[in-house]
Amino acid sequence: MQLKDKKLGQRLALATTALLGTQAPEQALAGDGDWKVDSALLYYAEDDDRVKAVEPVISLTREFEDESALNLRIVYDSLTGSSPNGAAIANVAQTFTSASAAARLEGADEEEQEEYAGRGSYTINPGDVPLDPSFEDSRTVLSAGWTQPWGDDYTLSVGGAYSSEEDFTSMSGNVAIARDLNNNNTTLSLGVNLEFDTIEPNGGIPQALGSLSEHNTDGSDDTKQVVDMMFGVTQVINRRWITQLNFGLSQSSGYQNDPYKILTVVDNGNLITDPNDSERYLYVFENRPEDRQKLSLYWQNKFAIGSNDVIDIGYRYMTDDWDVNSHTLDLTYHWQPLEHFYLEPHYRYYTQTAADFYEPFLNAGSEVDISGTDVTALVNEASSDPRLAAFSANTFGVKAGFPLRQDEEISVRLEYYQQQDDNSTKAVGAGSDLDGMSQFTELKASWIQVGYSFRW
Amino acid sequence: MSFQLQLTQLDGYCRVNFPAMACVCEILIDTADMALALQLGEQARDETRRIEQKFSRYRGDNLIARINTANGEPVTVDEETAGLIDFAAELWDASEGRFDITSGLLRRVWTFDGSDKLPTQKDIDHLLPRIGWEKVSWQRPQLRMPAGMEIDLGGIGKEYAVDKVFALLQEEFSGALLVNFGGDLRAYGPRSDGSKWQVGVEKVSADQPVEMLAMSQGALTTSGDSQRYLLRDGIRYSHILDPRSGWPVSNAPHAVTVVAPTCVQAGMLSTLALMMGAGAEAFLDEQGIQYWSVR
Repeated sequence: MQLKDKKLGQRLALATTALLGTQAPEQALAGDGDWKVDSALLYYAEDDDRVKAVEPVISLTREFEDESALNLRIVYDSLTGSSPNGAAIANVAQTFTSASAAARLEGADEEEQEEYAGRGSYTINPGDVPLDPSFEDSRTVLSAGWTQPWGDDYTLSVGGAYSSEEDFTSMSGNVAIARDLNNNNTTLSLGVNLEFDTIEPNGGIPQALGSLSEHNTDGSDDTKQVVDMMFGVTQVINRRWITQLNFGLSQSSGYQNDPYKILTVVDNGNLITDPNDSERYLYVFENRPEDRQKLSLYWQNKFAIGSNDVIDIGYRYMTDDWDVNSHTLDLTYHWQPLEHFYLEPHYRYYTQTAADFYEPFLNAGSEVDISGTDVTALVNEASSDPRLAAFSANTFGVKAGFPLRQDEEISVRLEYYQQQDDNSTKAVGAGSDLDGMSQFTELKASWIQVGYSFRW
Repeated sequence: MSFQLQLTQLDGYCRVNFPAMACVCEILIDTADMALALQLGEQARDETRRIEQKFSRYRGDNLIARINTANGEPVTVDEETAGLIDFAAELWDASEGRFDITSGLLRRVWTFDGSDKLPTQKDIDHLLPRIGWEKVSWQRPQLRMPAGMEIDLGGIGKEYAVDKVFALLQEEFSGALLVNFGGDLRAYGPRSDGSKWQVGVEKVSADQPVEMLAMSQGALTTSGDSQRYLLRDGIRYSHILDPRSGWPVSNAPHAVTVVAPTCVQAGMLSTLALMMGAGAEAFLDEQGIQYWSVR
């Protein structure tokens, strides 16, 4: 039995206003008897059939009567597709043995044998980006956080996270303290995060800058530790403007390499036959410094416009001792023409310089010495990972939100991302295998995220 | 001499109690200033008694009594009464006749004392011609009701009093406060120490734990009462009567507690929910509000 008139609540609210002669508050603020649930499903796809990811997220928050709060979060990522292996694009066909697929085949059961059989080696057509088709991973992240007021002016937070992939596990813990000043108009915060990672690549830890065909290993696993420190100030400037300044320091030590990424070794732009494998060209595994120190500055401003609109402007500067310097500008406009509908156009500009050891390929003679069957790198570090190259990127996005009632909302977000190559071209011989070939592949990706938040 | 008003100083706030509206009324005021609390408490009590005297159907000397004994003659009512009648008329329409201030006559045949004494259909049929807002002519400020009919604003009076007292106190005092008339309450907060008012959500039966709810702003009401029912042949007849049939609503929850911005809204929603019987929870879900239902 239901009422035909679905607007009873509205009619009641209007009648109440008329009766009491005052504008009733729109919402009652009550309750700590339930969980706030934020759920979302992300679908990410890179152009040219590269990586695709599906990522469901569930976050549960419960606020208690003493204003403490518990947050639990589960993220699951499923990634498939093809990922650049790091080799340069050449105008000849290149055949690779996939380190990860080959390792999977060893000791794999029948089902896996069948699944990976075709991926043990793969051939890339002339002019195509060398992509490893065996890219496949899933990641599960569990995290928990607890926030607790301490005295009148302090808030303490502690948290931890556990992340697991097939070849990678990460554990982290964080502590932060915030202090309110000036009638809560100023908040100072200080936080520390410790992270401990273990990587166990398929096929072991490849010898730094060792040849792909030899695949010598330095043990089966390695570790990395990261310490992050953050200091922040949030200031309410006036009723319509809130600003936040964060300063971050990060120290990472241990194994920083991507164990599956390789570099092409060329002789004046021509591919070299591997001295240990006459059917393959010569490629070496990458190597990065064992330490990385980052310093970052983040400045965010929110301006309230009219009754419901908000402009959000963020700028971030990051610099590290690998010579990667980046600038990010992020703009979001929250436009809410209706009570139950808002639109958020979003634009982000990002630019970074290349790491000092970024090389799209290595030159025989000056960077790699080949004597007989011995392949010896003359540089200490080198990587062709495009994430360490110089590039800029534009992201355009829009989010449509439908707030149904307090703490209940459906939203859809669409974003498009495009990179531009900002690297200087590394010289190759005229008419060689790499001549005229792009040395950096601009990534294009788009993603859609559907979200639903509610009280439970 | 019966107790008139009690002032208690508690941890950082004051409490004023006074008897009215067939319950002990409670006002919590977030101040340590007892003189101020007493002054506000007296104002609250005076306003409550004024509303009670004006709208009680148990008195022979008020406007309600004049309306109920007008014998078919038109009665002109004051602004405040007209406001309440307008509200009742709107809710009667919005609820498709379930909320009806002329339904009080049914209490003559229905006595919910936990016994098995049901009225006969004949008793009910005898009353039904004298029940139904559609039979009343209401041209603000004039009300004309057929002889023999009665109106009763008791279904809205307590919630109305809570909101009125709340508004009155807010004019005088800008801090946190809570007005609680026998479980129908309205709060404003948070308190100056940042905490919210702790409100126990009644679960009707004694063996159920009381759920504590932290309220900063809004109202909470509970409708239903496990003591007021009839039981016959294994069928439980709740005291919620459907004025359209004259019979109790079947399969209603024992109690419904609702959170809404004002006490009037909360009270109407909890009352209407019970009138939806088996559909109470579906009705509340549709309203998009926070509620507890006890079955």
